[in-house]
Amino acid sequence: MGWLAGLGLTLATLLGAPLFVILSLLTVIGFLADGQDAAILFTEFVKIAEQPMFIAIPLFTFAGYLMAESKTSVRLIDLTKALVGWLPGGVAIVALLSCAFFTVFTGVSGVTVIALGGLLLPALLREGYPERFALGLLTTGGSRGLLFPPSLPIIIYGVIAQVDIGKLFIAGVVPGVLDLAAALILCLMLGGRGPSERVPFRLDEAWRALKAAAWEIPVPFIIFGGIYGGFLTAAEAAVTMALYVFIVEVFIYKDLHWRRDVPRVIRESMVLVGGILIIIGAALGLTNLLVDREVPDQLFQAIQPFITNKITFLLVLNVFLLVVAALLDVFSAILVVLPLILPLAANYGVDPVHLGIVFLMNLEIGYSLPPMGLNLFVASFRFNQPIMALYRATLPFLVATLVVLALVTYVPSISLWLLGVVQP
Amino acid sequence: MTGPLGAALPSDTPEGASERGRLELPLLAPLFRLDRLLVALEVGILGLLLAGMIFLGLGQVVLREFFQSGWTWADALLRHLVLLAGLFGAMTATHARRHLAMDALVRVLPEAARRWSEVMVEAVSGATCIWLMVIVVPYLRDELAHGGEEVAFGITQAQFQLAFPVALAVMAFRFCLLALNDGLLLCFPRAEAALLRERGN
Repeated sequence: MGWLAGLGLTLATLLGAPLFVILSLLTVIGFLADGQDAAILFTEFVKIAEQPMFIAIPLFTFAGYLMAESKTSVRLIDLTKALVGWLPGGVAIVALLSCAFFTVFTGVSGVTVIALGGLLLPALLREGYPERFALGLLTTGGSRGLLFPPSLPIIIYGVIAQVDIGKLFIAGVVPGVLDLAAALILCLMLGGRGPSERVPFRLDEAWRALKAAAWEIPVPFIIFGGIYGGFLTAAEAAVTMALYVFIVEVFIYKDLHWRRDVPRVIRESMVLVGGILIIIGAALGLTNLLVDREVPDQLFQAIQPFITNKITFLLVLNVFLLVVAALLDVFSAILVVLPLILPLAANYGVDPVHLGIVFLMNLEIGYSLPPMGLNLFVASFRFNQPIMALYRATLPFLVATLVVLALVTYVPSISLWLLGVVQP
Repeated sequence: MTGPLGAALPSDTPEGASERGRLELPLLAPLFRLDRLLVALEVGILGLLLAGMIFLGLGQVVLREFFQSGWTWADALLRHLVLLAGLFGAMTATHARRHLAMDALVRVLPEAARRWSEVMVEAVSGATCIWLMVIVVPYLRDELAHGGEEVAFGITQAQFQLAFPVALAVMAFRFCLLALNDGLLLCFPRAEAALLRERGN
């Protein structure tokens, strides 16, 4: 009977059944098989209403969607172009930075490729960059920036792993900068060959672009200043950002109409929030079942003879997570896989903050990893390109990020040293 | 169903296109009208929940920073509003067919197999929601009978949790409606062709 249920659930998962359905069924069937009350699922689910960290999820998502649906992307590209467009590989750098910034605020979701791709691809091609290079840059750009605050995957990792979100925000900065630097070097190497002359720096143009984005520039400072200045918790920073962005986009820039556009933004953002929270609720129930059955301990006993030390564990973890990330989206991967990985990592002595950064970097790469990385499919649709062309285009960028991942994995201080300097 | 594209701008994504292009059997039109009415209601409630979260969160910051005080009940209420936002958002995600899912295999299936698998998944999801509802109702009945801890304004935790059966009922209704509609369209290709012609005109 058990194997039949297992087979059915596996089939339903592979055929695209919602993950909350699969996790709920697993939990309910598991508790019933153990002779326990299946309603434990709901006693665990309501823990969402017990932890203040969850408040950050709907409010950061709403603020990110407001920015995604307004003309922030155009102002952002204008500003980075005016400031760094004069550098060698200038437009490529503009694309890289714009994608990273936009991903931070809108979450890793394919929205960057959709919103910025249409503006940046023609700009890159016009400047003489090879098409393959431009496609690779923009496709992988859809998930680059995931390590910078206040990206939603960091918050969800913090919520599930019970790690201080403020610490995770700080720990992600150096690996995130390294990741950007690696992509930047690639831009200079690959993009420097063909492009036409650079855009000269013009002070009046920079001033105009700065003035145009003046209301959006303070957003990162509200978050950083609020949390690390000790005025706001991560949840309160989310509240402040949501209100600030709402006022800026609706009443100051007037990019969004309160009656025509705001209900649509509420709907779109809350669809994602609902999709995430309902999986978190079901995953909390499943975690209870797994702990009840001592599954993490058994898993540790099973792998211990083969994985004898922390270094090997991290290596195997990297390979495993890359495969997971190519098959699952970033949120599902955190929610489904993390509860199993956390106790194992603790047994091998991996710091949970370091684990978070390694975990999220793997997911960032997996998002563009063939054959199933989601960015590839979004970009294929957006740029009207065959998926095979995108496999080739993303390869150099993936290799660059993999090198950074190796560094971040085996040198924990890259993630952790800044925590010693700035304590949230 | 789709994965993280749930987060992308819907009108520009393949999933957005499929949502926009969904064919609805005239036979089921009243049920689809009810579905849309419920979505409008949900979006209104979600707007109120968001406004409530921002008001309470900001109120607490202002009271703490400038008046060294705060509402004792606000934090618990805020956290329960998040739970409600999650449940109402999940209802709307069902309407939009944008629940997070592992859809790697579905993406490479042939058209007919993909559509049949969708019907199967919708039916299983609908049945699961009904089963969960059967589990949660007696649990809530007990919780309500015991009274339970008050969150704010005399509303108890168990009363907030009444959103569970509501959300599960709405999701079950939507999954079953989608399964019925999509299944019938597959079984009666002529009806589907007629609907496509009508749309073309």
